[in-house]
Amino acid sequence: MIRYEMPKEVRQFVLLLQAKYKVETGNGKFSQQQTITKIIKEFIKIKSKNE
Amino acid sequence: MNDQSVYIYALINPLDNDVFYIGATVNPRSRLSLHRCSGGSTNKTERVLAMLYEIDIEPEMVILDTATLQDAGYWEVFYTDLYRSFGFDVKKCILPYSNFDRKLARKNRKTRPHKYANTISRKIDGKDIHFYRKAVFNALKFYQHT
Repeated sequence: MIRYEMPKEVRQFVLLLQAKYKVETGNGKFSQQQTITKIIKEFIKIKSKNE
Repeated sequence: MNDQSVYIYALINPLDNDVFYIGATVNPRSRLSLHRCSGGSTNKTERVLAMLYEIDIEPEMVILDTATLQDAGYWEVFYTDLYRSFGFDVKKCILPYSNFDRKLARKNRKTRPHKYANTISRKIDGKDIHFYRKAVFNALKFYQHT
């Protein structure tokens, strides 16, 4: 298996978003993986809108 | 035929936004219905799917990329590796027949059912499967003599 590292800026952005979602959830539970899926979903939404 | 595009997709559990499966298919809709048929296994993917269908929730299918029929295997491995390095618990994906050891595969095939039977036997009454094997053989010997 090949391990892919996130670029530093992307990682920081993900962590920032995760902190934001943690506050939004109320109980403070929101993993990094959940943040990544949210980003991917929103990216796909924007992509389909543009097409 | 070779120009057919293959969709690399991810299955997402809508309850916790967790990617639990990455696959490749030509027809996403029929593949999703095939996932519905699979179930009742120790495999994580099938356990999650069974759980979701039991409470009547459809898993989200997100199409990550499209590829040609020749490159689909490569991209499937790439995306599983990518998601595994992000920290998702996705199945290990190897390109077909790379690092395939025929002898090892045959050995595993032989030993696995026996091991499984042993664990089940131990769970039921704490006795090893050999105990029953011996009992059966002894009974057979007895009947042969009579």
